[in-house]
Amino acid sequence: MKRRKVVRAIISIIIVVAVLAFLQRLVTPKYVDDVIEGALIAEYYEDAPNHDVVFIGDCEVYENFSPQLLFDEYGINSYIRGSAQQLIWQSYYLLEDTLKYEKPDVVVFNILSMKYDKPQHEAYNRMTLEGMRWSMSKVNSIFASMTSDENFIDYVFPILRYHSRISELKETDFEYMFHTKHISHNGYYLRVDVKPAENVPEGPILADYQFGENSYKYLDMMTELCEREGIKLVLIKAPSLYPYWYDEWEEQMENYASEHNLTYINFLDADVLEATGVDFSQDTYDGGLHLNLSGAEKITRYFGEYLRDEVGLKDRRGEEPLTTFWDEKREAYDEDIASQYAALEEKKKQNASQGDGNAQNSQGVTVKPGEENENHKGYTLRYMGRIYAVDEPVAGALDALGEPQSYYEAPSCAFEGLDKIYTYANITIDTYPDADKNDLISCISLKDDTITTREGAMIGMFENEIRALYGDPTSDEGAKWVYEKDGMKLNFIFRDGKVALIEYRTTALDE
Amino acid sequence: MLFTSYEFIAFLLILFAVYYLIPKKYQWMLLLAGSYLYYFYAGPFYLLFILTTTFTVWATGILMTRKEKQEKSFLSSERGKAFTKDEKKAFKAAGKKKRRRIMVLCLLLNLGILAVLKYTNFTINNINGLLDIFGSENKLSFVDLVLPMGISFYTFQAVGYLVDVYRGTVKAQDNFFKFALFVGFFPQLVQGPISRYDDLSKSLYEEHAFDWKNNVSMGLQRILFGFFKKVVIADRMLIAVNEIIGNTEQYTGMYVFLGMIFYAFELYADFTGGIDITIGVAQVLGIKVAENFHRPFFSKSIKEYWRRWHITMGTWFTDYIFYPISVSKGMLKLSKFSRSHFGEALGKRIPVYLSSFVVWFATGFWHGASWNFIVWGIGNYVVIMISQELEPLYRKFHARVNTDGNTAYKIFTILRTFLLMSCLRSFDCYRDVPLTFKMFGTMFTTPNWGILFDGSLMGLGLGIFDYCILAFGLIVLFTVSMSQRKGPVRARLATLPYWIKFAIWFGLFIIILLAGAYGVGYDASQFIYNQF
Repeated sequence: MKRRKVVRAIISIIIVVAVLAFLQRLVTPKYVDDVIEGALIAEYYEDAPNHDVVFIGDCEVYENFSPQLLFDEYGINSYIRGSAQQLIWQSYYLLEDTLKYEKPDVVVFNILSMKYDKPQHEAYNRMTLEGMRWSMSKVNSIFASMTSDENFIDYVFPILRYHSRISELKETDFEYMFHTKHISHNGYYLRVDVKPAENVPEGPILADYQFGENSYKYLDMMTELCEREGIKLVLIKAPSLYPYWYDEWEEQMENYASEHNLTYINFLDADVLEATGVDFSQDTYDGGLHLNLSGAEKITRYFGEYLRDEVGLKDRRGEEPLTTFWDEKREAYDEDIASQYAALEEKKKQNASQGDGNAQNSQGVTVKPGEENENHKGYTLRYMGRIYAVDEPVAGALDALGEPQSYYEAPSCAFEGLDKIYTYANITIDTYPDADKNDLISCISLKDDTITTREGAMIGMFENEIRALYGDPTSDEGAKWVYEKDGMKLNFIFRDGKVALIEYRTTALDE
Repeated sequence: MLFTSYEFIAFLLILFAVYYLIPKKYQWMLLLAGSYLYYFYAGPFYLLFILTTTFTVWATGILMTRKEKQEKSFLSSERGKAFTKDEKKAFKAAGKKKRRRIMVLCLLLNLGILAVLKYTNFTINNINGLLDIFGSENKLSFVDLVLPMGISFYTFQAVGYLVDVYRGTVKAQDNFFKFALFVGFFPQLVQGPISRYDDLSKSLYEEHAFDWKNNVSMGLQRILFGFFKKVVIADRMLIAVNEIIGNTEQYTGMYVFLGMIFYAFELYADFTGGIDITIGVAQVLGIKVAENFHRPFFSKSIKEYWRRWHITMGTWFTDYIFYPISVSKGMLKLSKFSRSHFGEALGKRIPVYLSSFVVWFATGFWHGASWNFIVWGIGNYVVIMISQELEPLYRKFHARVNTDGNTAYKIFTILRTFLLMSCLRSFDCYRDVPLTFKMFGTMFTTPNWGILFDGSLMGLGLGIFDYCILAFGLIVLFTVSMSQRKGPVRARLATLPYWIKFAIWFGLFIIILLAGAYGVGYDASQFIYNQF
């Protein structure tokens, strides 16, 4: 009787564990179709760990360097450990994780993530962290990355995070339950399509250009770790035109590199850019954010020469089994290139047969923008006879402003779709796509004193005048005063005690 | 620490394990430590309030008992024995009066704390409203007060104890720490039930051996069912309810009706789910906590509904407010007066109606410091009184039309009660009296029944999957309620073969895991009754 009970208990436990494991696999995103960036980190563990160079960073590394070409032309064995919006502490812990498996000669770190001093988006955290193997590095990275509404246990048991996907499962969720397909080429996300960079906007004025303490802390840790391990750390700023790279940031990085005796290469520097030969009218696939294959190959060649000539990495072509290994990889690489060109060709044909494929569809929104309505949140702007409010559909709201001086779009960091920026002489309107891909206003920036807020504030006013109009700010960050109201923020950026920029900003994109 | 949070689950697991590992004589001490840790987690500052209530009520109980003992010992002494019968009576009455004074002082202090913390801003708001009416530009500023977690529940529980000690129905607890456990027992701290000392104390302090079959397994099952009600049904319903009541211009007519119905189920699943977790946690610990619901949606009248919904609150108000008021000297005088002036039939009812009014006003006010709750309480009172006044008419009707055993009539009365209660609850929903009347009116002026069929319901934040889950959840609740008529469901399930039981409970766990409205993307929703 007792034995029967024990057997029954064991079988029950096995069933419970098996069913839960099965369901967890089922609902966890597979990152093989729409959002493939989440698959990149895990692929590293399948590669043989004897790389000469490891690239660490965000999309500015995994879309701008081709390890295949680096080996084919320079005999340098490399891997990119990058993921979308990879924050600096995530990069640090990924480096720590990498060093458990190998010790490369050179680590290349892209410094764009210095601009983020605190956790950002849960979705991006997931894409970086889930692919890591369990270790203290992963645990530390999770704790450093979690936003306020995240729980550590959700990372341990992803079913707790993804359970609601049960109602939106796709074929691929079943197909790739127990195996996955290779997305990258040694961490490189290859794209062959072309979208020229045009009208890239200037970056908005910032309240504070100083990189945060947290960012510096992890950069210091990375520097010390490389020094301790005898690894050469190279800092780079990839040639991405947007997000905007400020001169003030550049200065800080140059100073840091020189203080710590590190090599720093800014690919946006005019001379370097000219030397690489990158042409943003044909070497980018998304208007200047990331390079396509052609651009990545140019950057890789430039960097390959640097690694060979300046660092002195030896050419390992001919070394076995490495060469055979890369030969096999080349097949997949070439196949990917060929299939992408074929798909582009097919798309071209389809567009030709359908006429103007870019014709805009109706947004199908019910709330008319530009008119006063009860859905307006917090502070709103009245300008040119219209009301502008954040989180409102932009469709139609821009009519009164006429033709923008420039228009820019880029894949959204927060949602599926495009972020758009409409720049006018005295006002800039930024948009983001919602879940239904409607463009909603994310930020309205007033740039000169020709526009006043509904409460009477304008550029050039003094702090006491703003206080008289709005009272005490919700938060006072010195050069930036924030007035929060109904899920939006009205920001005043001060220069020399006077308002230099006024922003109406949504909080929908916070965290 | 919400009942449905990871922290609470971890807290429970550790507590359960330690509880059965330590020597049994320390179990109640562990519970006290656990309860205060739980309370500390909500806010260390709150401890000051619960400790004040605990200490003052405990000390008053001891003082009253000591006084009574002194009186008794005096009466049994040589001097006391020398008293005449009348002198003894007078001596006892004087003693009782003294004890009542002590009790009233303690009640004033503790109900005063509750009143100040809960009702100060409501009072200020009303004074400002009056100042407005009289054209005064001077306004009182609101006070920044934070309501300590569970204060309405633990204050009532402590007050009940004190009155019982005064009445002599329970013996005062000598041990302060044991009394502190009674007041602060964590599972029932935030949303009740409002336990009686004589009901709870025995199992709270006694030693409990690990009993998988009768306590642990049964308790865990009840917790699981509570989670199912809360995260699968209530928190999913909440999305649609919030959408409807948050957009009053957009959602009128049929939407208001739907909102009422959704809210009825949301509140039921939320509150009973929370109580299931409370009772389940206590059961795992071997402690018996009073039931708070008895299939309320099967009530055939509002009066019956209130005997089945939030039972411990209803009986508390009856025992500690209705009864003392009814037998108070003033009320007895009024009874005499009204009988002599309005006749026996009406005169007898007037004091009862007056006492009931006080009870319902207090019930509404206890639920929240705003007019909507007061109107809601009075609304319940009015419906109950009307139904009581119409009793002779009902009797005449039933004499002519025999409805005994008529299922259709029974269903009609159940639905009638459900709809009446749902209408009254809309004051709780919109939390604004004029707005509630306005929205209620749109049900009759906005003929938008078509929204039930044209896909508009998908705009309430719920998709097909959510509606299917809700339908499934409500079917489960209905089936369980129907089964309860034949006896406790868990006890009957326990008699089934092992693998069937396993499939049922593991299946329920999987449903909670996959279909629960929890985690990132869902707001961690507080239990509705935590707010009272």
